[in-house]
Amino acid sequence: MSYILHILIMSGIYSILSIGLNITAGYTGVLSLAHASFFGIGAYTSSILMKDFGMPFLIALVSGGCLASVSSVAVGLPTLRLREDYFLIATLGFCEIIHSLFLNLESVTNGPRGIMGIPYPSIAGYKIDTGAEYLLLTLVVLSAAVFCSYRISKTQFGRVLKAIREDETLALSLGKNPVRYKTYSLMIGAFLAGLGGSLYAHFMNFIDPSSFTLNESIFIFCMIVLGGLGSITGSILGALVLVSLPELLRFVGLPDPVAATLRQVIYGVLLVVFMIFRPQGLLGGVRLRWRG
Amino acid sequence: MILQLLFAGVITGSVYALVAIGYTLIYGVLKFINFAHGEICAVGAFLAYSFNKQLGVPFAPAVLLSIILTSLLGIGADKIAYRPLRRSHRLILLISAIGISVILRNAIALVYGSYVRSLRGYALPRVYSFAGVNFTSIQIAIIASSVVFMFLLHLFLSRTRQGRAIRATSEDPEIASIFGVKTEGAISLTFGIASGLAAFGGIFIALEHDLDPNMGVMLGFKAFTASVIGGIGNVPGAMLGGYLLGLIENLSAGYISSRYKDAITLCILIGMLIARPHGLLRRREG
Repeated sequence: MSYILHILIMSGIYSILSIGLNITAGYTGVLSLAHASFFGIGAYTSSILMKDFGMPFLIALVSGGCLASVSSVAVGLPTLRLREDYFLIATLGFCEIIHSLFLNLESVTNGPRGIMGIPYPSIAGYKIDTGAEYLLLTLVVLSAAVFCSYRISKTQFGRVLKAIREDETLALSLGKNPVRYKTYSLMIGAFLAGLGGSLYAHFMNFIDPSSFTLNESIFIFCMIVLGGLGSITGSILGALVLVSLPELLRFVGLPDPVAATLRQVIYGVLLVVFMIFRPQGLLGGVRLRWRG
Repeated sequence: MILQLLFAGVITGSVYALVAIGYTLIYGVLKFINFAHGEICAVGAFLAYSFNKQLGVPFAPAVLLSIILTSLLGIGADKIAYRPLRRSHRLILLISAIGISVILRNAIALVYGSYVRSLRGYALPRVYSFAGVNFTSIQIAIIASSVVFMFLLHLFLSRTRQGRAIRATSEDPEIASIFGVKTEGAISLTFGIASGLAAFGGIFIALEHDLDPNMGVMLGFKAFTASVIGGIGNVPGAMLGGYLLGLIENLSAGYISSRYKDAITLCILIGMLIARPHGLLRRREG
């Protein structure tokens, strides 16, 4: 039972991450490979605030999201002016740099040894330390994320994001500054990634830089591609499928390192196969049309 | 000190130049950044390792075999993952390329495990010294052979029929095909050449450092930066960019700190893309 709870909680956390990336990549068409960095920044911020400074969980959680969001501006300011494919490679660079910061800023992050003994969250004196309670907490944050994401897609703001994805020049000609809106969408995505990071850290009670690599970015990216770019239910479905898939590999009885690598190969194959045969994903998200 | 750093810069620069040419050639014909190019280098290096160290093939034929196989792999990747998407949105092609790079990187890790391996062998190479600069015969071979390759490539692109087909396809595939150029053939040829050069780049890196399944990520990123410095799509520019980046990287490692090598490359990349996206050499388009 606790095993199933574990998978459900992880799926929930990854759903928050994929919903965030979906706002950036799915709504606005800004493909970012720095999502794992924002995830990591949220995780580190929240654990340090709560463990070393004794902050209450809710403040740590929100600070994690905010700091991730602020750092996304630092990533986005120089790079969002670039064409989408250049942007993608620049974010790859950022992901590597932030990963090496996690490794090398030993006084803050404790380097490759990671942070151990991250406390369980407690809200108003009530300690959340059983699986079921944690699942409930994750679901509450997830529902908030789903609600915001859904509302955004229905507002004028959301329509501008989609307009930028479809035709940036046209959006510009209607007086909408694409760089500004892309920055907003990157910030919202990073905020959700930061929340996810915080939930992840307090659930695992341990984080180290190896959880926030390029592979992780690609993993989350795979979720929204699988579910369908731009679709909220798709993002959740993608997270659910891709978090449970490795568990199936475990039942086959492969040794852990082999299974982890094989997982990655499968993600790669999924990306290629989906792009060729079903670019709109399982639940039929956006159809990106060819334009010259 | 400075001479030694400059020399080291020329060595890494030659490698970046070879790999950057691949990015630029493929960008030329398809107008797309082959995200998996760095991983192709890694595959080349590991194949050479397999032939040389595991199957006992002498070094030179092992390198040759690895280059041929890597070229075929490049062509195959194009046929499987990119060709069906020729008329798709650019993002879709890009995602497919990310997929290929993930597959290759992890396939290497799956086959070879994550041990550190070395292509050099365990004997330390003999070190020569000239004008205060220390070097090994391997390093001289790297510099010399990359110059030879670039010269041969230049002759190929400017003098032969196939080379002109590649250049025509880069200019305008539709018009090229009207004039009877088989553009699909030219694209395959481009992938073959680019991947062969990438294999060389990977093998050279493996000779200087060690082999590791993730070596392609940073190598690809650096080489891409080099091709942007020269103006992507521009072959002499990629060579120039490769040497420049190699020099900058080694000088900054020597005088600032080697920890920030990658961060400096990233800054150069972003700076170039914002200030001169058409590269140092090319005139502004249109």
